[in-house]
Amino acid sequence: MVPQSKTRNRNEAGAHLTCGVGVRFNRRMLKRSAWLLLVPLCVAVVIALAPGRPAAHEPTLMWIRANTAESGDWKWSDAEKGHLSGTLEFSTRRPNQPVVVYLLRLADEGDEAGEQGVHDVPERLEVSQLGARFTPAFAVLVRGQTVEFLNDERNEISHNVYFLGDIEADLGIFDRGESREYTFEKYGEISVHCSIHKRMDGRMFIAPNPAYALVPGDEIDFRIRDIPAGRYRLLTWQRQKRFRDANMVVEIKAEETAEVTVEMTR
Amino acid sequence: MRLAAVMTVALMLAACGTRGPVYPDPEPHEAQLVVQLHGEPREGVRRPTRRTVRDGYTTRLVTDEDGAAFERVDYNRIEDVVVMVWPLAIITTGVQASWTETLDIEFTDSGFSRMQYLGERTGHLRVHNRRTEDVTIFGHGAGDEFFEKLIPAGDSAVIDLPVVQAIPLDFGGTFELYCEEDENAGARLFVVGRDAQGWIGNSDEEAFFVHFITEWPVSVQVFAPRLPVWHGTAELERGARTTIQAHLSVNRLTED
Repeated sequence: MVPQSKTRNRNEAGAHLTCGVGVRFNRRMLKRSAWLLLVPLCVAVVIALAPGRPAAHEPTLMWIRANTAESGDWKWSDAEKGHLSGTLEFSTRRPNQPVVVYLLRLADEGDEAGEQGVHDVPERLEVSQLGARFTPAFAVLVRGQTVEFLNDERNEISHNVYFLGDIEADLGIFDRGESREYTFEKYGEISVHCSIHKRMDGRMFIAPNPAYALVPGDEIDFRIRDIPAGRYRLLTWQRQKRFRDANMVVEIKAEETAEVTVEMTR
Repeated sequence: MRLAAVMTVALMLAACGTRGPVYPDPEPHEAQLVVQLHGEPREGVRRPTRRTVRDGYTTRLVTDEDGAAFERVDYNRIEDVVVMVWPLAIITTGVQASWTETLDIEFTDSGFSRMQYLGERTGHLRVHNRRTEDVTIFGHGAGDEFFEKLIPAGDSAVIDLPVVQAIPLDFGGTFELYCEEDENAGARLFVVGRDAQGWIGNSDEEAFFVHFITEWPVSVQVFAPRLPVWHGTAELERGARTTIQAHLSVNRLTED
């Protein structure tokens, strides 16, 4: 559409408007071409607002052991205790991934899990949500332990925390400066998410009792101390599973160190 | 007059945009199933706070939730949703012909291009490494099936999927996909079992299944990334189409 009116200079009634690229229009021209401008503008807005393919989830991976059995600063109440010493043996090259070795206490008879006993619970773990990121994004906990999720954002941003997996729960929505606690009464593996922000993800493994070791990616030996005497099922857990998880029965005797070789095969 | 014409065109365009998919009429010997997906936003979530910032002679609205980390979940369009349907009774007639196609997977600087994939139980993966360095792709099946493949930079490689030890009456299985060189990269591959049918798409679409030749009830599971699995059943009828609705939400989780 060709504008009918001639361009006037700015002194004539000040009717000219200048757009960003320096082209001058008068109001009449704008009025006439408004409909022509509206359609491409709407298309541009729709394209700009259309959701693109999101980048893959990039949780911050931080392996954290929220407590340590080796330090001996928290223990089972049982009197008679022994130790376990072992080596992981991989059928192919060792991936640079930590492996959790843990013991599940068995009932006096049979191969079923029994009572895990009364044990000290390590201090609570604080998880930051600053910058819409769980920090740490990965943690190994012990059943009975409490995790406190802090909304420590600097600005007025709300967060939510929910778990999926062996334990499923929703801790609600909370504003900056607030926090939510959760005490894990069961053991297992969970993924942690925020229902508001699509890239806020974390992962936690909750061991059934304090008898576990987190074997770093560049090590194969482990040692677990002060385990109440009894029969246990030795199990492994891998965040990114590359091998069949171990599953074997071990017996812990008072004042003795049991030695095991844990085969990680495919 | 001109305004009325423009509005009429706009209304016609809007009507075209909201028109649902057209499905073929069911044959007398077959049953059809449509699974309508509904993503529900988390209850109680407020919009991001906005404040006005003066910038020279102009003002603009800014939000504190700026940047990729603060991108919000779009419950109107949840991507990579997998729907699996399988009969609740043992039948010997396979409801889906064996697939021969190869599933193509892109591995880019951001990791796997999708959060979830759908393939066939005895099928193949062709992984395209778009990175400038070699990568090793791992897969772990729920029944302890493993595979591992080194893919040179900028190249592709075909992986024969190990056969998942499918449980009778189950949909097939899953593989967790990882990368040795990028510990943040991860995706899930669903594989369709002998008696099952699978669909993958976004939550603003409908999962359409056809060629069921059973009148047994079928089990339906919907797997949306980061959301609880939705379970349901549907009673199918020969020569008819059954429609069910699946709700994708965290609102039904217990709040502690």
